[in-house]
Amino acid sequence: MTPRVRFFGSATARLVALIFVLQMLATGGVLLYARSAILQQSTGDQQAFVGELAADLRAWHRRGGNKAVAAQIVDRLATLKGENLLLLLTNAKGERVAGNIEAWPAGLPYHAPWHTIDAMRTGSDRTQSIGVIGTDLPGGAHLLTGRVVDFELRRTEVSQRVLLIAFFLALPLALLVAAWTTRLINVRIAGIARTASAVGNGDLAQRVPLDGSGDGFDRLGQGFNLMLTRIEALVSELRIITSGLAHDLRAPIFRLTATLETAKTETSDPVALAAMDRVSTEAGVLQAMLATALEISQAEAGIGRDRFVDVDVAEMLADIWELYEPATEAVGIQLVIEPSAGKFRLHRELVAQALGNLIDNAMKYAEGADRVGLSGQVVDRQLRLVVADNGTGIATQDREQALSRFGRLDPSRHATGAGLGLSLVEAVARLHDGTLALADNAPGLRVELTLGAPAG
Amino acid sequence: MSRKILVVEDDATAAAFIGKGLGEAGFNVDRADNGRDGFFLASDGSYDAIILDRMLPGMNGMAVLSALRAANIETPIIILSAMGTADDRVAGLIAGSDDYLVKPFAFAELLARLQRLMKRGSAGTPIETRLQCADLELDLLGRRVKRGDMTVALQPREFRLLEYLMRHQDQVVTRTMLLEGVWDYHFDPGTNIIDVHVSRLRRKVDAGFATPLIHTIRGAGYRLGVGD
Repeated sequence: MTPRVRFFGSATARLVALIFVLQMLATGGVLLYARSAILQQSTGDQQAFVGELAADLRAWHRRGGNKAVAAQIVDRLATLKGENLLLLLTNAKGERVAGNIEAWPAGLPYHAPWHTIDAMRTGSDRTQSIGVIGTDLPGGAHLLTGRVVDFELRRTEVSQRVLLIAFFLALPLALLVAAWTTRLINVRIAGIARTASAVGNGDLAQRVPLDGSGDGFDRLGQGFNLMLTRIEALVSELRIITSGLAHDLRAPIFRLTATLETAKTETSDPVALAAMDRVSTEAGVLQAMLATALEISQAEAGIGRDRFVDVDVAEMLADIWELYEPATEAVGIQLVIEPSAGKFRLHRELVAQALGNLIDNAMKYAEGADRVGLSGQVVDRQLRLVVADNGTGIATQDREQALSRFGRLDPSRHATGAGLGLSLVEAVARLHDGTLALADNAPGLRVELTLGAPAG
Repeated sequence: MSRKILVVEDDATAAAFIGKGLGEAGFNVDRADNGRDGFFLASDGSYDAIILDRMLPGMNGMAVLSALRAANIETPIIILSAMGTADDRVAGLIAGSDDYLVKPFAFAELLARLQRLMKRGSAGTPIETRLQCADLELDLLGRRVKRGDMTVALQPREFRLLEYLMRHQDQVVTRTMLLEGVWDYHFDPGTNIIDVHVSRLRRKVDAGFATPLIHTIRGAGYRLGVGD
């Protein structure tokens, strides 16, 4: 019976999306920071190394001038470490004295802080990315120190790929967290919703289960339960008043009829007897109204749901047909069962009484009718019971009045009847989560009693 | 020896009305005006039937009923109540009462039900295959009805209606008793529904015979039997 919830566009979907996006933003931010930190760190290392190299060679220059530096350059390039180095010493005229590059790179100032340039070293067959520092030496000479950062860049690329993989790993995790969080919230809310709908169906004793955690949901549940306790108290007070009133009214009516019955045996005056018969009839009407009003208030309070039984619709209608057919025939109306089928869970007595009321109404009020059709079909877990006559019907604008409690369309013409008949039928419909509708039978009145809540 | 009935009812007018009627019908009546006294009087099991109001001071009718049944007092009990919905009736019957009557009621209704209860209590219910009243014969196995030498063709529900009347022959049965016994409904169907059924049955069973068997009892219901 769980209705299909439209997922996309629902608050749940939006919540999942929001949590997911926030998660991804947080993860992405952390990864981006890590990436830039790694990058900075490795560049810093390179810079420090190249700077140190320049300072070292300057110290050699102080000791032995260009010659000492040139010797150092040759030495250093010859070592294993020299593989990654770029070194160049030029004299005051700008000519190369020593080093593994042909000339000072074009566009690079002589005194330059950390630069990354693309250059081809002597003995190398390709252009490489090289981080360099240009240094002035006393006497107009210039020193270029540098280190290949090609492989460093590769290392950065690897780390970027790792970060990307990490990002895509985080993707399903974030989705999972989003879905799980939303589910957690939904489960808590569903508990409250279940209670609310149970109470809506008349089970006032239902309460929201609490976990005692004191969180927002728990407090919502507590507030909800407090409200329900209050409602339950009010309703039970109302019920006590209603049944008390019914009891208090019945007692005097009972005494009235008892006195009348006794009096009837003690007099033979025909005038008095006739008057007492009329009073008896009125007392009977009053009593019937009271009984019906009580039935209505009980049905509306949801009392009787525990007596629902599975009923074969065709059999139930056959029973009712059988009960009412002689009476309708006596007033010249043909009672007909139209194709009916299915099984439904309902309150047998009250539904029979409701259908009886409808047939009774047709007999009393459907002017010119000579046929009343009775049918019941189970469609989509709803039972649609129809009582349709071919009389003059009720005008569209009068239908609401016909449904109102104590409402009678023409009080002058029909002295009996309390106007509670249709109200009882409506209360029976509500007891079964259903509805009562009046429609045009063209000609005549078509009363549709639908039991069960609409699916979906 | 006349039969003893206990009436447990706090409303003096109602109690007097019931007591007077029962007295005229030849019963010996004791009365209690609260549940505790009622239970005390009933607990020796000497009554033939108990008429018990549902709402009583001291101890309510349903509590008295449960206490008596718990003490194995099987005296037939009719509950009287202002609470008259079908659910209230069922609750009363489940709690162990033998019948349930809603106030206000006609005295004839109470009397008819009381007599049915006491008859059931004394005679028991032997398994019968054939019911007979004068020249009317009802064959329960063959589902056939004969009046004298004539076969009477009845619809299934008419058969059950006649069966109910014959099982309670010479007793008054009311319209609500018929509705409960034959149709298993406890609501007021309105508009002389039962009367129409009985008059149909009467046309088939009595028409053309010198002695009518189905009699209308004014203000009460019907009785099947010979003579008035």
